[in-house]
Amino acid sequence: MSHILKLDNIGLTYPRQGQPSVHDISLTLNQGEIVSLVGESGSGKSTLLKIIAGFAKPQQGKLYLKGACISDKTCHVRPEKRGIGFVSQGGGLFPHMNIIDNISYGLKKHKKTEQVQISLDLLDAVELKGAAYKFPHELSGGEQQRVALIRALAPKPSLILLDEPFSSLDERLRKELLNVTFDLLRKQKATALFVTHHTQDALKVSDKIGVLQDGNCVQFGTPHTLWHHPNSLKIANLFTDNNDYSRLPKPIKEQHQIPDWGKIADVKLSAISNEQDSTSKQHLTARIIKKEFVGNSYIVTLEELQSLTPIKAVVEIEDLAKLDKPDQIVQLSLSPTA
Amino acid sequence: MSFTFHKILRNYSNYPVGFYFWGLVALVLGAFILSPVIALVSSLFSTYSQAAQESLSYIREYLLGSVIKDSLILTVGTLMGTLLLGVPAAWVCSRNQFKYKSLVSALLVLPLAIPPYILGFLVTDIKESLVPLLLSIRGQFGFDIYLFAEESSRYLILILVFSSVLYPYVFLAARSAFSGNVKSLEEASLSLGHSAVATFFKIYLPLARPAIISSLFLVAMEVMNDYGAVKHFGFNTFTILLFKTWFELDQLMVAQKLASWILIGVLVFLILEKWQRGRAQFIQNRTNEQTHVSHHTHLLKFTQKLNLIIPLTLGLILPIYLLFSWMIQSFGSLETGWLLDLAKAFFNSLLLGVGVTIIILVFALTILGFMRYSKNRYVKLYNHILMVAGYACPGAVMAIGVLALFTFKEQISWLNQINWLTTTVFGLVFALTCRYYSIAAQMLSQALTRLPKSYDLNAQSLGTRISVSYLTINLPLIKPAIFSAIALVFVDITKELPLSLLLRPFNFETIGTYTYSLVDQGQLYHCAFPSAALILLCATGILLVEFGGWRRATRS
Amino acid sequence: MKKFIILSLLAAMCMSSAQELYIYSERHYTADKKIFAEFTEKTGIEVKVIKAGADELLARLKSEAKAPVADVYITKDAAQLDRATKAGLLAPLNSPIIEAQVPAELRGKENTWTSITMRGRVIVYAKDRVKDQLPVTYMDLADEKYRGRVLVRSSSSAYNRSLLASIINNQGKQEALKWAQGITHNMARPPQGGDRDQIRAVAQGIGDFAITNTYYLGIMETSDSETDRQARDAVNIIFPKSGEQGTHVNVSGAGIVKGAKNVENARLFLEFLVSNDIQIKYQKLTSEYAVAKGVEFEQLQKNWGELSPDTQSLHSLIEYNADAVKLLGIAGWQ
Repeated sequence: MSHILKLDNIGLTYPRQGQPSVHDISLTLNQGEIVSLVGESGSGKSTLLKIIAGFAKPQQGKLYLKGACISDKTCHVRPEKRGIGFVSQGGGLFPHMNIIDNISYGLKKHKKTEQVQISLDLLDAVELKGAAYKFPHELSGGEQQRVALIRALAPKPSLILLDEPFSSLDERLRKELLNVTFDLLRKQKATALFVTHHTQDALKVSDKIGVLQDGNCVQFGTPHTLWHHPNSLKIANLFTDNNDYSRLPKPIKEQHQIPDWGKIADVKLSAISNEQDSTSKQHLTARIIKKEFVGNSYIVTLEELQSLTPIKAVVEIEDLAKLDKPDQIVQLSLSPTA
Repeated sequence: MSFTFHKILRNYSNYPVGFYFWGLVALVLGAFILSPVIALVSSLFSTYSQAAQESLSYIREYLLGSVIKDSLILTVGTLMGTLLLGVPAAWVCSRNQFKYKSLVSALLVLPLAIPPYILGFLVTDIKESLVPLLLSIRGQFGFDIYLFAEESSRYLILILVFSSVLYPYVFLAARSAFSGNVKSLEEASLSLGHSAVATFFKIYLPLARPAIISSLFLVAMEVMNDYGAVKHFGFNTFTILLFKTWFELDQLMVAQKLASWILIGVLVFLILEKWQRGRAQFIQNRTNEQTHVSHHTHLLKFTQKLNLIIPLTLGLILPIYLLFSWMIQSFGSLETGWLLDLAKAFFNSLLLGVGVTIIILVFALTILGFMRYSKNRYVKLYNHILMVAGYACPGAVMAIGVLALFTFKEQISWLNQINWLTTTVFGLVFALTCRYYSIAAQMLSQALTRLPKSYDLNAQSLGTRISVSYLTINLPLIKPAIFSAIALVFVDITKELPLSLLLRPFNFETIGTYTYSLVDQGQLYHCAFPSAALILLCATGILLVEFGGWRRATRS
Repeated sequence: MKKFIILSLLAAMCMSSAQELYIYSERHYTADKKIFAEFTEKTGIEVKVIKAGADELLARLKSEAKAPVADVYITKDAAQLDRATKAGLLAPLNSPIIEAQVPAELRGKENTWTSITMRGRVIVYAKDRVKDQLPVTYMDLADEKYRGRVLVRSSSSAYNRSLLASIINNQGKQEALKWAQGITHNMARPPQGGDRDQIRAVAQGIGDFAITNTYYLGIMETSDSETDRQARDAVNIIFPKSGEQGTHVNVSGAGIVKGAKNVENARLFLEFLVSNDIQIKYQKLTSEYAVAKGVEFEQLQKNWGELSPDTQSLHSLIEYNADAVKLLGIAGWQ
């Protein structure tokens, strides 16, 4: 499979703190792949996207598009010549043009009648045919986003970049648009790079995921790999849903087993008893600070009585009945494996 | 009686009685502001004496042609000039970061401190220096070509003069529009295959259209309003026609009719523009987004520098140089007591400016405040009309409107005892208030609409009346807009000439009228010192606005 | 002895009480300041002047008619004084001194005003360049042969309006219109600037002929500016005839405001202005012609040429002023 995009040690450091930098990023996108970039705010995802699109010039490294070098020390192909589609947060529809003109904006190589036809077909694909002659402000947020997508797709770019396109939408709309967008992208067999901080979305739609932290790409692989074999706790924490530590992969947990009482531990309660049971060695007396509901279980935050060490424990629903008093002091016993 | 009235109101409305009182006050204040305009327009319906009819037809036949020609050439020329000077500079300033950027930006706005008539006087010598060239043209090409060249050169120089001091209007509007929420639009445009140049013309410029057109309207109004420079260059515009009609033909009624036609023309133009805009939306928000760090060639950098240097030279460096050389030249032959005369005029301008500004501020805040809380759409319409009325009125037109108003009073005998018009500054203050109300009102209105109503709702839930929350919460929050409005109105009043010439009371000179009278008497170079004083006064005002709060209260 | 003390005390009281004189003047010359100061020195009467445009002053006088503030009204144009007389704003002078000093034709017909100074409106021409036949009358200058060679200021100038009014008086409206049209046709450039600018323009070569007031010649001749002196030097003067009459003249004049508070002071003042000494002073300071009988013109003025003034049309300027404005417009004289 030929690669569409190749990054070779791309680096860009901003002198001032204002913009996030990227360091030594290398990755490859193949034809028809959908790759997500995830990471916290400030990890450099958007910067990387800007470099790929051509809005920013990297200081190190090389960038290849379809085998041709589009950015290195000697050359820098301008964004308008790269043929890379771009969908930004909020959509970026031109407010002074109607929808058809917006979509036709990138189709200047075609005749006028063709432009209209292509636009209408695309609008049909996202069920927005009736909006053809409206203006962007007359559409809802979700509709605008759909138009932004097909506008970027209209000129059949070799690569399409999506920079957190759903961030400004509410939860339900985001899920709906995620489906619409990636269904369309798959249908068009588009190659896409998708930047998001919603890791669940990334897991759902991507062929590959890249994780950025502080400007570095710390892991790049399939969703399965990232879910079951994260390289670090931090990466793992990116993907766990709502602190559902029960889903944490074993190796991580093993890594963080408590050899003694001194460390912060994520443990599973095996038993809770209100009585003193001094027979078992692995017992802990702690006060309950907080309980959080996570679906199957509860995450309980406790504070060890003497050393005030904070402890997080996963508790099954059934056991919760015993934890109904406020500021309750309980005895915890730990199981050897969680 | 009042008790039952109170009770009735209580039963039928949610507002306390005080609110209606506020509304009444606002209504009356608004009526004051509209009265000259109404007086003018009503003069359209009155019949005219024989002499007036003759004058009117005389004007139509002999004067109107050249008036329309001169007005059109000067206005269109200046519009193009200000676009060429203002838009590129605004583009450079809004898109790039460079050393001393805020200083350069402020300097680019400073030419607004120079009234067109002063620069028109200052370039007299430059005009003279063209004479040998024109004479050689006459020798080579004949008399008729020479006449054409002579007239064209005068047009060109005056257009350049106007453009140099009026381009800041366009610069400010364009700069504001270009700094808006456009980064995502630019990225989209580039990614869709359009070059940076194409993006400028297809995206940035059209999006800035309403702002730029509003500023062009202001420019056109300033050109139409000018009396000193146009007269000095020997042209005839509508303002000159109004002066001529009143002073030479002695026909105030005819002047009123002409003035109202001018007003209607302006309003029609405003309506046309709004209608032409259609449903399309334009840049609304301003964000403090990071500017692009893009790849600049040497040619581009040079062009950028040029875009900044040319307006600065024409609008600031050249006038200052001319001013200083004239000051030096005239210093030897100044009349005794010139400093006293200048000080008197300066003081008058200061008092007038401050006084009228305060009045306008009080009016505007009262009227706008009521409009903010009223849900009645007639109130909103009334407010809208108020904001447009003075705006569309050139100074001379407004003066004639006020005069028209005062001729009504002659029919009311008891009012006639007090000759308000010529004995006191009342006429002048009144006219200036009506003329410049809309500028302050527009700025403040924009700032107020940006304030969410939630502050008032919170205040009310905590037990405060609307009026109090308006004064103590809303107004402090729009302080930058208030200061900007004050400074702008003050600068406009100080620069003003035709209205001041027509309505000033006896022995009362503003700096503007004093400067003009010096030139009128043939003491050309002597106008340098008062000009310098005027420009300093206005420059202070503008700098205050530029560094104080302009960015948060754009006028467009 | 007692009488002497009482008298001198009375005299002292009279002198110490501030005697005043209020003047509304259209003239803005420095010379006036000097002369007014001299009046104060001589008589102890304090002179307060308010300077403004002619129409403003007139409007002001009208509005104050019931309780006048001004004592004296000074203008630059005879028509303006007649306008004030017509509006009933001026009182009869009742001054035998003035009647003796100033010839009747230079005083208001109803004895409500007197001239103070006089000036002619003449034609100047480029000394070195003009070789052809010189115009003798104003009408000559409208001839085709002077096409593109005439410089004159704008039609809004009262000096031009009065000139045209005098031509209407002497030769009728038809001829006057022909003249205005001819001059407009002959203009070397559309009107710009004042009279002095026209003379400067002749010196620069823009035109060969200019219409100007006589006193400007004097002012330029004695000016601090080298350019002005050279410009004056470059031209010669023609005193044109106006039809059958002499050269068009206009006057600066003064009248006493009806109901003025300081009538006596006003009269004293006017008599002062037309006294021989002051008349000579005016000729020296502003190069305006004296109006007093028996005062000879200065050498500088004599060098210009011989003035035979058309004084009779002076009194019809007011009558034809409105027509003059209209004719100027019809002729296209900007």
